[in-house]
Amino acid sequence: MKTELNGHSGCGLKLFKQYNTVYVKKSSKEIEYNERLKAQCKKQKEYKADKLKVVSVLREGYANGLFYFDMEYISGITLAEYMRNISLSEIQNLTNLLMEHHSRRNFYDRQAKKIFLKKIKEIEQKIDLTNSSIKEAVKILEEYDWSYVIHSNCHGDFTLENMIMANNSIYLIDFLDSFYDSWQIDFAKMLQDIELYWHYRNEKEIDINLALRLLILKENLIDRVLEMDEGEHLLETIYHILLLNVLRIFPYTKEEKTWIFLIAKLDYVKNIIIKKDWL
Amino acid sequence: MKTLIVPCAGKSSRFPGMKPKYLLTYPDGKLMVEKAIEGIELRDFDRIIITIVKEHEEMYDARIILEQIFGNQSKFEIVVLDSFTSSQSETIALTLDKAKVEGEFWVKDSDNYVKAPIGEANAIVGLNIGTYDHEINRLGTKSFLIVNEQKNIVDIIEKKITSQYICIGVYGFEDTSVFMDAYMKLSKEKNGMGEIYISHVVSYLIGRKICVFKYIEANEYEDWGTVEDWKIVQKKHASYIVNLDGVLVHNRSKYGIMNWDSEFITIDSNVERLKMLSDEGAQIIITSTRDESQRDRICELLKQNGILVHQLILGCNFSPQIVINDFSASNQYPSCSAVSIPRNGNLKDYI
Repeated sequence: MKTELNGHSGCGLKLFKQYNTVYVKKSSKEIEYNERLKAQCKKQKEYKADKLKVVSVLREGYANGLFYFDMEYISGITLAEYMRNISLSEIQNLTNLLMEHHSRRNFYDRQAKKIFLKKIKEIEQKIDLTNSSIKEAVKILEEYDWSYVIHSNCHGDFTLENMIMANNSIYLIDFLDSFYDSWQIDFAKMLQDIELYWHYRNEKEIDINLALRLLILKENLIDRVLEMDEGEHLLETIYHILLLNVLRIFPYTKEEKTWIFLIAKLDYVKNIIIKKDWL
Repeated sequence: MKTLIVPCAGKSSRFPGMKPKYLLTYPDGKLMVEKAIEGIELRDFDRIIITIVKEHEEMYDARIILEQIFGNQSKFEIVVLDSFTSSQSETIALTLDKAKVEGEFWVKDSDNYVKAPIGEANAIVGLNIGTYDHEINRLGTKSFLIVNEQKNIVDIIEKKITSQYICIGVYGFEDTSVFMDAYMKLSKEKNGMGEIYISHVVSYLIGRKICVFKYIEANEYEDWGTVEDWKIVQKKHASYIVNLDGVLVHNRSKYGIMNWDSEFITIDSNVERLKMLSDEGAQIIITSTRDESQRDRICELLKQNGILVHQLILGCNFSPQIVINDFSASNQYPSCSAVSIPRNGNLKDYI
C-alpha cells in the first residue's frame, strides 16, 4: 500500500505499509537532485540532538537512477498547527526544548563573513534591485560585519512545519543542506514562522489565540538569546539572517499577494534591525 | 489602596440608536452601570472610578447622572476621556494614568451583573457553566478559562468552547505596573494585535510567567452585552397585568350560588405558569372586579401558590382592559401587548 504525502522540497514523498510497518519514502525526482538529497539524508542520520528527536533513516538506495531513503513514520501534528492550541503554561517547556537545540555555544567563525557576503551577492543577481525596500535590505546586509556568527549543528530548514509533535516530543524532519551551518540560521528560520507568520501567510486573519502564543514563544526565545554572552550581538546576527531569508524567497515568488507580503516583512525586519527593537 | 474601575468609554455599537448602554434603565429603575456594580462588595474598595467619554458627558449628561447616583459616596470618582478608545484595555490604561491609580485594582465590565466574593488580586472572576443553571447567551463569544486543581488559571482560550469556566469581565491586578507593562507591550506589538481585550493582557502575563491568576467563582451572573441580551432581561422582568377570575381561578360573579365568597377553584396550569414567570423576575399585577372585602382571601390564595404579587388592584370595571405604554429605542415597539384567553382557558397556549 502506498499513499502520496504533501511535501515542499520538490522531492517525492510517499507513505508505505509493508507487513505491519509504516514508513515514508523520500525520493529524488531528477538525477540532478540526487546529491542534494543524499546530503540531506546524511545530515538526518548524523544529526545530534539531546531532547529533540530525529526521525530515523531506515534504509537508502537508488531506484531507476534516483536516490531515495526510507524513514520511520511519525504520527503527529506539525508545531505550526500545535501552536494554535498549545497551553499557555506549556510554552515555557517548548521554549526550553527549542533552546536546547540553539544554545550550544561554539566560537565565532572568522570565515563566516566571506560566506555570507558571497551568498548576498548570489541573491543580488536574482532579485529586483530597483525596488527601494529590497535595495535597502541588501545594503543593510552588505554593510553588516557578520562577526558574531557561530558555526554549529544546523537543521537547515528549521520551520515550524518541519517539527512534528508526537508522544510529548518534537521530531525533526526535512533536513536541508544549508549554505552555512549555524544554530543562528535555524533560529532565524523559526522566527520566519513565529514572528513573520510565513507559514500562516494565506490565512485571512491570524487568530488572536495563535498570535498571543506565537508572541509569547518569540519573547521567551529572544530572552534566552539575550541571556547568552554577547546575546545582543547574536540576536542582531539572527535578525540579519532573517532579513536574508526573506530576500531569498523573492526569486521564487510568482503571486503578487506573496510579493506584497514579503515586502511588508522585509520592511518589518529592517525596522527591527535599525531600531534594535528585539522585544 | 484598592481601586475598582468600571470602564464606560466604548461606543455601545451593539446597542444601535440608543443612548450609551450604561445609562439604560434596568427594569427595576436602576441604571445599567448602577446594576453592574450592585453584586460587588464596594466596601472592599478605597476608590471607585467610572470612566466615560466627553461626548457622553456633553450629549447625555452622563457626569450629572452618575453624580446623582453615586455622588453621596466620597470614594466615587468620574474620569472623562477626550475620545472613544479602541479597546477596554486602552480605557483602563488611560484611567490608571489619568486618575493616578496605584496598587491593586479591579476592573468590572459595565454591561453585566456579577455577584462574587472579590478576594485578592491577581484573579479573574469566572462562571462554571457546568453547574450554573441559567442559560448563557452567545457562549461562543466568551473567553474560556482553563483552571487547575489549585484554582490557578493556566490558560485562556478566546471564543472556543474549551472548558466549563468562562470569563465574565471581572479582573483583579495586584499592581498597576503589572497591567501597564503588559498592555504597553501588546499595544506596541509590531505585528499588531487588533483590539486588545483585558483577557489578552492576562494571557500574556500568564504565558510569560509574570503572574499567577487565581480563579474566583461567581455566584450570580446576568449578561447585557448586546441589545438582544438586554431585551431578554426586559422580557424576563416584564410587568404582567393579570385578571384573577377566568385566568387564575374559575370565573365567579358577585351573585348566584357560586359567587365571590365560594371556595376558589384554581386553574392550576395557569397558576403554575404565572409562578414560573414570577420566579424568573416578572412583575405580577393582579386585577379584579372583586371589591376590597376580597383582598385578604386573594392575597392568601396567591401567597399559598407562591406568586409574588407587586400590586393587587380591586374594584376594576367589568369591561375590556387596555394597556397604554410609550415605545422608544430603549423600550422598543411593541412596548406593550395584550392576551385575551377564553374564560378559564389555558394560558400556556398564549404565553
